[in-house]
Amino acid sequence: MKKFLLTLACVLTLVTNACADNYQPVDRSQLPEKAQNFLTTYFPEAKISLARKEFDVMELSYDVIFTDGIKVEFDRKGNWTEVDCLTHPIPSGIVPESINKVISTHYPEAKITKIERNHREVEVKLDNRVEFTFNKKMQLIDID
Amino acid sequence: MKLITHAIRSLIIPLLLVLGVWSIAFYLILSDELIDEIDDQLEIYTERIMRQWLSGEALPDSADGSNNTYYIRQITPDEVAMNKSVEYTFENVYIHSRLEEEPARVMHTIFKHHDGTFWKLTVMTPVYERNEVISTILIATLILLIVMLLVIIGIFTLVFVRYTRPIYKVLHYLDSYTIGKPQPLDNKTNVTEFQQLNESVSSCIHRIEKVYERERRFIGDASHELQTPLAVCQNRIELMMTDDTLTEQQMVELSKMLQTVNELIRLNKTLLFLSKIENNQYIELTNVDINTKVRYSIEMLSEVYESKNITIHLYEQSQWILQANEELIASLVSNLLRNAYTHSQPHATIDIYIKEGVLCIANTSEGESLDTTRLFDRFYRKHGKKNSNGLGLSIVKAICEASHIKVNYSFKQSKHIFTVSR
Repeated sequence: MKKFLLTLACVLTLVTNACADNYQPVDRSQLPEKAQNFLTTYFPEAKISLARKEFDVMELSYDVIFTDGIKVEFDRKGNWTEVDCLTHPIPSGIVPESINKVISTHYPEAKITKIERNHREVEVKLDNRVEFTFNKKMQLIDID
Repeated sequence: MKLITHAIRSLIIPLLLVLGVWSIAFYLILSDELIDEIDDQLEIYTERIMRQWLSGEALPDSADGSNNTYYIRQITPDEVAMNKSVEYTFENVYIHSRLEEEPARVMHTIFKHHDGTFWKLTVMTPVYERNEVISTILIATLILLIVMLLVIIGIFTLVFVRYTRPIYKVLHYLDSYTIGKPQPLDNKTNVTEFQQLNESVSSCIHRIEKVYERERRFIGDASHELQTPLAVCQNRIELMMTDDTLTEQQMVELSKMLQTVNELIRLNKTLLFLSKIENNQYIELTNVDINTKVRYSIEMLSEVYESKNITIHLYEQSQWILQANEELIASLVSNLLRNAYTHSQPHATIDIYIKEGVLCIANTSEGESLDTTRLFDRFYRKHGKKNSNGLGLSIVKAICEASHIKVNYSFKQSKHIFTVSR
């Protein structure tokens, strides 16, 4: 009986903890190494305004906001999942070459301002508000 | 306590525990999820404003219809050290659109400007519906808990009652069983255990019946076989007493012996009679007038017990004519009356009351109530009384059973009362 109540208390605390306090601020050094390398490679000049660790029900992720409003998100291993430069073009080298090719055939003048990826697809947003969606094999599946 | 009460009691405690814990967890998760949802919205809003402010874009109007409000202010490094850079709180906030203070969920975010200064963005959204939703969740959870408990116990009770019915049938059957009159056990069931129970009970009853039958036959046969030797013995003694050469001393001994043998013969006759009654050998039925039988018995017995000088009070309210065997009824009445006579003190009174269907015989008592559980047993005698053989009341009982009437004993106002009734 005592054991049972104890387990119960543990479960309840876990449940409540998991739900509360979704964000925890972190330093640059607390980010995964891969993410730190990514930042120094593509955003060598930018200063971090706020870096956070986000706990969701099942997964852990990081996001970094620079002092110019640019936002980069990473998964738990430090792979980028989102780069959002608002109105600025994304630093070259982040967007895969095959995607760049497809976009330049459609809108040769347009710049990519935001790229988002998960395990199923990649979404790209241009400065003219057009959105491209690619599947895992980098084939175009949707234009919005 | 009944089995069902035990079962429900031992069911309800773990059930309450499990369902209770489940309800609490459900309630906590839901209300947390509610806050989480609000926090997610605040987070999206915070991020938008922060990034717009950082990139120098125009900020959205504070009252843009989303009910969210925000403000940004610069803070000193000391404040940065004191506060967490991301913090959620519940606060009462003045809402312009409502012109009053309302509870709100507030998110504070401290961030750095490119010039190195620290700024704090505070975003809030009113949560006046939250408490309402939470209390609704609480009530719904409670109702669910109670309904589930009731439904589970209801179903359990139904199933339990349905499946244990054969047990109660067997109990009832055993209660109503009287030795010598077995009824077949009608208790159909598909449950193997109950089928076994039925078989066990039936075979047990069968064995009891067999033993009872054997005992009954033995008593009958034994007393029948004893008749002849006893009669021979009696005759021999009587023959011997005609011998003139005997001394007076020897004569006295012989007459005592004869007396004992006569007693033995009477006892044996009674046993035989009892066995005949139990074997239903008195089947001839006539209309017997109880009143006449009682009056006749009084006449006979008052002569026998004349020396005791007993007064008889006979109240005849109506006549009772019973369809039964005449010999048995005569024996019943005379046994009851003889019983009253023998157990009365000299100069006592015996009250007799007759009406349709009832015969009461009451004699004043020398002591207390008799042992009702053993009263009608064979050879039961109180304090080893010598002047009875202890079979009178067994005969009464046997006759009543054979004639389908009831006999009851009660003790009221220091009187032993025997009541024979239909």
